[in-house]
Amino acid sequence: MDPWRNFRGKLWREKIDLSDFIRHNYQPFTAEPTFLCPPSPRTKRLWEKCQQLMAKERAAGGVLEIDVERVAEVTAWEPGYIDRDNEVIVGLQTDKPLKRLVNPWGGWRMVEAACKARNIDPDPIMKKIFTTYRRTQNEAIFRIYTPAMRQARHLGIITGLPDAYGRGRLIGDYRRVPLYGLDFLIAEKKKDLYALDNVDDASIHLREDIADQIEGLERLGAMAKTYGFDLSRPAANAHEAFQWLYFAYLGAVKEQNGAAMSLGHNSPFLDIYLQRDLEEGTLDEEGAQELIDQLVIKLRLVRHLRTPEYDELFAGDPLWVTEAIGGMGEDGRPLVTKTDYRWLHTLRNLGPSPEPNLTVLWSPRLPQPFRNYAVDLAIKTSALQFENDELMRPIFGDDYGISCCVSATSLGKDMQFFGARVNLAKALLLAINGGRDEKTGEQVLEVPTLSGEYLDWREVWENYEQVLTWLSVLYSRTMNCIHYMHDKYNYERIQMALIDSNPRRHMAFGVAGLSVVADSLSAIRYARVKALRDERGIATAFEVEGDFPCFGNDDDRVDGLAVKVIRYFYSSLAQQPIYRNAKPTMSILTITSNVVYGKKTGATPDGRKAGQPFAPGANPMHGREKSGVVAAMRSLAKLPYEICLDGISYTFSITPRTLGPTPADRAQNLMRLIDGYFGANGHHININVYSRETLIDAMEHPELYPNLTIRVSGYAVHFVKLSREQQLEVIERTIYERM
Amino acid sequence: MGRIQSIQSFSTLDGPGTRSVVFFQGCPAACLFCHNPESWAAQGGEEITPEELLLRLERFRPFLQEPPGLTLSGGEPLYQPAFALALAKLARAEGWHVALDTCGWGPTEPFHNLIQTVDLVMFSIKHPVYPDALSKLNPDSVLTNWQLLATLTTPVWLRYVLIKGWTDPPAALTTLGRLARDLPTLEKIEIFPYNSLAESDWQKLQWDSPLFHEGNITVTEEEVRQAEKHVRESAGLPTSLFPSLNAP
Repeated sequence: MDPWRNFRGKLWREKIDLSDFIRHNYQPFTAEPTFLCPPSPRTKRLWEKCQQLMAKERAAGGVLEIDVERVAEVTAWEPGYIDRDNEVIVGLQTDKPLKRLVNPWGGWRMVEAACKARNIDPDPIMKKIFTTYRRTQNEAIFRIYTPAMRQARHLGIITGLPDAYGRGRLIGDYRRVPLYGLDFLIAEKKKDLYALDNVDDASIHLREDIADQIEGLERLGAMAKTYGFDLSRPAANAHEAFQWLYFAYLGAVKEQNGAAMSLGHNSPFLDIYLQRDLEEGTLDEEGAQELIDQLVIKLRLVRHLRTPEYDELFAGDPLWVTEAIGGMGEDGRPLVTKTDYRWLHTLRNLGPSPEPNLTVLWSPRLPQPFRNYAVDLAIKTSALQFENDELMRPIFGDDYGISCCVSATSLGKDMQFFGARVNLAKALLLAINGGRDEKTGEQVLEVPTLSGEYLDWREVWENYEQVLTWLSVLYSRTMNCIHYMHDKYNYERIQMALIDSNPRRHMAFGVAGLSVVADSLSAIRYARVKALRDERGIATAFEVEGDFPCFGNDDDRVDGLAVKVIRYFYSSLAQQPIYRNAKPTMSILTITSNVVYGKKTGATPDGRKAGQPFAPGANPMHGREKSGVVAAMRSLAKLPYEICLDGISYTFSITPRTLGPTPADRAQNLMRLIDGYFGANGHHININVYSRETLIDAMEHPELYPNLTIRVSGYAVHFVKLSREQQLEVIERTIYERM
Repeated sequence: MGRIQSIQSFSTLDGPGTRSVVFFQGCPAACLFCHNPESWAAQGGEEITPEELLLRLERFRPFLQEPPGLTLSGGEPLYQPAFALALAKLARAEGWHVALDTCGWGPTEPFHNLIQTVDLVMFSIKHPVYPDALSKLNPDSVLTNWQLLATLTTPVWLRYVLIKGWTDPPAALTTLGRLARDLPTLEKIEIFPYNSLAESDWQKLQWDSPLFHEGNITVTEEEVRQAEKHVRESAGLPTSLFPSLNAP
């Protein structure tokens, strides 16, 4: 049977062009979603079994089993199943569900620490290989780090660096495997490889990349064959399309333990296959929903082995299997299909869950029933995030996914070098303390000592500019080291095989602690701040006399300071040479690491005490947005997206009653808030609708809330999987509530 | 030019729909259960013209349902009658739905003018007989203003805070019912339980209220329902006046 039967369009047949394929074949769906089905009996039985397994995993302290015998590689495991009678989509990372694999490519120490935390000994032969014969990414990077890089890293000025595990953030265009089959994709890569006959460094580098990619695709085919599937040809029906797509993703997560392993934007593509089968009478709606539900079950089971330190940074065992939903096409038609509803419907069929990280690409022009459905679901589950499609589409086109938390990426066209982030608040303290670290007293750089006991705005700002300039040099060089070695020793051959051979590269820089810095600068500028210095001359506390405006109140005086800081820092970064000519982007994002960053940062001039958590992402500091949510959104929306293309994360929490008296009012009011925020050029918003009492109760009685999902900065997490410290921080956050 | 204490950009609890709330600075009532004692002082807050204030509010407008709501609250808006009137007129001209949240304080004429200008009055009766111990309001003047409402067409919501031992005696509730019955423009009666969060607001100012030393003065939801029932039945009021009885 012709796998491309009944498909329209020409361009996509001759060269890889998913956009063209989708544009010619998808059917927008604008009606009410009355067609949705409950889970099939097979799905119910399978999910029941998986939930039991996950309960066992929780009871075992978070990790059920580790395979210490084998090295992460796509063909390393024989086929694994959960329940063959009920499993419609097959394939596991290892040979058993929730059994975690060991990935030494990123670094051996991480493997050892992760095993040790679970009282397991790693395999001695593997250890010997990866410590004696085979250099890892981690080892390679640390060999070339300069003392300044090491210092900035260990003091937590540059932090969360992907120098010991996979950088993640790449989204392979997994749809290419079902649409074209591996033979076609390999042939195309070979064309690219042989077309490059220059002998300069860059060309040889790229040729080796492509050769690796071809090998990755070949091994992906070999893995699928062990499950009895032939990926060499295109998928011929919906079931195959789902299975092929999942295999492609599975290949990536078998080999890569990147922090974020996102999926893309697959609904319009998958909908074309489902629709064809429905029209041919070989599938019914229950079957269509079953395919989505079962794919989602698989995505909810993906795991990686992490160290306790990693868990502290990124709590709740997240993988950022981010899947974009909705959005508008460049031709003016909504990209909403029935399958977008089917994806969202998994939150009802299988219950709320952090993974996959469902992200609604939002526009006021989306079909009204879809807008209603998405907002209603966000209120009921607190498991959705929304991003501004009108802001991203002009830059990334209409075929983009969300990488990790909030970062738009053109599918199959872009790749990004994950850049973690710098702690802007610590940088400010360096400016105040003559270039010395406020915790250890270590001299980090030379800046003038401040004159008086009271902080002078001009002096502090001049010093801060010097620190930020110095930091942009050190930070960009550090990232260049990391990604050079990551490419060399831990290359993502399968994901990169599903991206164009010479993609647009982004260096995704990031900042944390922006609201702390904005408020601190505001205090220095508009109030009087006295630095209380210890015997070393380091300011360990600050006394603020008078009032000052705080970020999050739509007050241009302080909001302008936040903008000034990120503009200054970004323009310094943009002047630095960047590995492989990547284009610099920046995020204002913390994930759950705002707690750890706060812990590592001394008292700040805004009145924040030493060790207190930062606000998440770009949020105003807890409790300082005195003028309510609209004013906070107005402040956030002033942060310029054009220099923060990696994303500006805003986490919004409100009690149901504050949002409106009835469910219908709440949905309407929330929709208006989102439209207002995005209309003002806001980029991203996490929606949480719950009461503080629910969270407190869940903290005390976790067993009663195994599925309570909340949105943190850019992803969702099971509340009960957070550490107590993190739980307390979430409870401390401003939850909009009026008595 | 007037003085405001703060602005709340988004509220669903201070009138219909979604609204912004301007808290006026200054209030002579000095209620012992006030949840915003910082707003009492006549000279605090931020000075601003009605025009500037409206410009600031317009920035919130795209986030609010149409017509956007504006509630003048406080403090007591009638403590700055010219300012309140100017703001209400400007906002209404720009299409805002303007509500006045008042304790009924104030000379008759400015009260009359403001009521005629706004779309809705939320009249908080602090206590139907005003024992001196609970607030500094003059009961006669409040009663005069309440009666004045009956001569105008502006719809009225009556708001009442139930405090155990203070505002919950049956006699007080009977009087409240009678006041309600006499007002044809009354649309709604909302009885709220006393909220002990007020105490922390007083503590911030290092103030104290004798009310906080009276043992338990909070009431349960059930006691609120009972009080509503008493008000309704003693005065023969229709259930449609009580949103709690019409909740979805």
